[in-house]
Amino acid sequence: MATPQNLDILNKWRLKSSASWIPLQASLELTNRCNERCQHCYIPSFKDDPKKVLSLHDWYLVLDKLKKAGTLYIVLMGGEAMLSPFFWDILKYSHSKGFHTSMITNGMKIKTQETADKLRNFGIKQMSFSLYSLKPHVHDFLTRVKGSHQKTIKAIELCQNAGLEVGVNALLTNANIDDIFDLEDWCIEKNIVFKADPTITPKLDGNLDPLKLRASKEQLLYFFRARTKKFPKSKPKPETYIESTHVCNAGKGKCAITAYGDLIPCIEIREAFGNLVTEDFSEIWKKESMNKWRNILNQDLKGIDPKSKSSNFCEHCPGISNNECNDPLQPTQFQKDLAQVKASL
Amino acid sequence: MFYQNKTYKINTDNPWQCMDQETIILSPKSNKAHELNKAGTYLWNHMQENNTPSLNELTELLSVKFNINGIEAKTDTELFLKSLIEQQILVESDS
Ligand SMILES: C[S@@+](CC[C@H](N)C(=O)[O-])C[C@H]1O[C@@H](n2cnc3c(N)ncnc32)[C@H](O)[C@@H]1O
Ligand code: SF4
Repeated sequence: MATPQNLDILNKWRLKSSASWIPLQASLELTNRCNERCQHCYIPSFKDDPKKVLSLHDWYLVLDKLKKAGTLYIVLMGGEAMLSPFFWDILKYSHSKGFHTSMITNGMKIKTQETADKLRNFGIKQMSFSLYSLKPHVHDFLTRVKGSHQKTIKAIELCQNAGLEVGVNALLTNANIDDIFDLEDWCIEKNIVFKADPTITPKLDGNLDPLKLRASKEQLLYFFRARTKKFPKSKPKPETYIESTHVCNAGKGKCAITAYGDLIPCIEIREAFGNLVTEDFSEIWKKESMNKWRNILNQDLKGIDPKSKSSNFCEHCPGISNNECNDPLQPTQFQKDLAQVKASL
Repeated sequence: MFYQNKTYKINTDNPWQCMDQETIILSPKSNKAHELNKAGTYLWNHMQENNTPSLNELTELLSVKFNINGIEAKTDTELFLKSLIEQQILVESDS
């Protein structure tokens, strides 16, 4: 009755959740507060409204409802999740409910081996650290906190010592693009899963300041060419353009919960369809108004030439487009450039 | 291998979820995913509610629920337990 298999099972469950609108993954923004002030950050304000923040009991309720809704993966984030007064209780409860619980963090609060060990003992399964360069001045320039580089590196070491699975997420900007290969080599040497992503989103309130850090088309070309040469397997793979394919998984196989308990289709799409503390998950999830986000197909996108090679590399995000151009169906110039660069390799 | 005086308990370190009468269980340490069919899911859900059932209890449940004879139910339950114990998803202890 129990067959150990791997990717096949995971893929089957991902497809099933997407097709049946079961949110296999939920990201929880435990707080908007943060101990860094990253130049690129999409969060408009690092404050929590005391009248709206959730109590610990509310978070327990949210987790209970997500379990019932079919969620398997919980991603704790924020802001900086560890600044939530309930962080440890939420982590413990999430683990006890049988969720796979991971976290995206700057690591600033992990200062001792005891804290890293406690994370392991409380059941965290994976830690993704936001680290932008091996050069302290470049990382600190982006985070706007002097000494943050040293702290994040230390946190990574402590978590590895604790036996935790560690990853590094490096947002690729015009300030760190020259350092990315050194960072990737360092991660490989330390057995750390490395991810670099050049897609910088506007702030969630539409403020475009973070976009100033986007790499130029020339920089992107340089980066992808050099990376493909160094790691041929990293060459971006086309996904055959099919008109009737959904552009993303938002509001289907994934969802997100804000610091105030609002249920949103994903981190980028900030339209709240209901509050998970006061309403049932299924009541919110089946609201007709959510379909405008979950039913977007490739053929709905504006200005895409289905015959072009780059259409197979388009990673359209309706949330980013909405925040950037007020139109979820309009691919941004950046996404078009990125697709063209990938197609040219 | 399975004795009357043993009970079986879920190792709470393994993330899991049920969907459409099937269950997925992850083993992060070995980086594996396991799947339970309808009958396995039925036993799994029972174990979630009743912490430490015995082989006999589980066999009886399976036999009644799926209308199968005792021998067949016992073989299936043993297979279920054996496989999950091997994957460290269940732990066996003295009752
Ligand atoms: C908002 S942070 C929250 C978690 C934690 N504070 C951290 O920085 O790791 C989550 C991830 O989003 C990334 N991020 C922040 N602003 C972004 C933006 N405008 N575009 C794309 N990614 C962004 C960060 O680099 C980080 O890896
Ligand atoms: S650490 Fe994370 S939440 Fe804080 S400012 Fe940076 S990206 Fe934003």
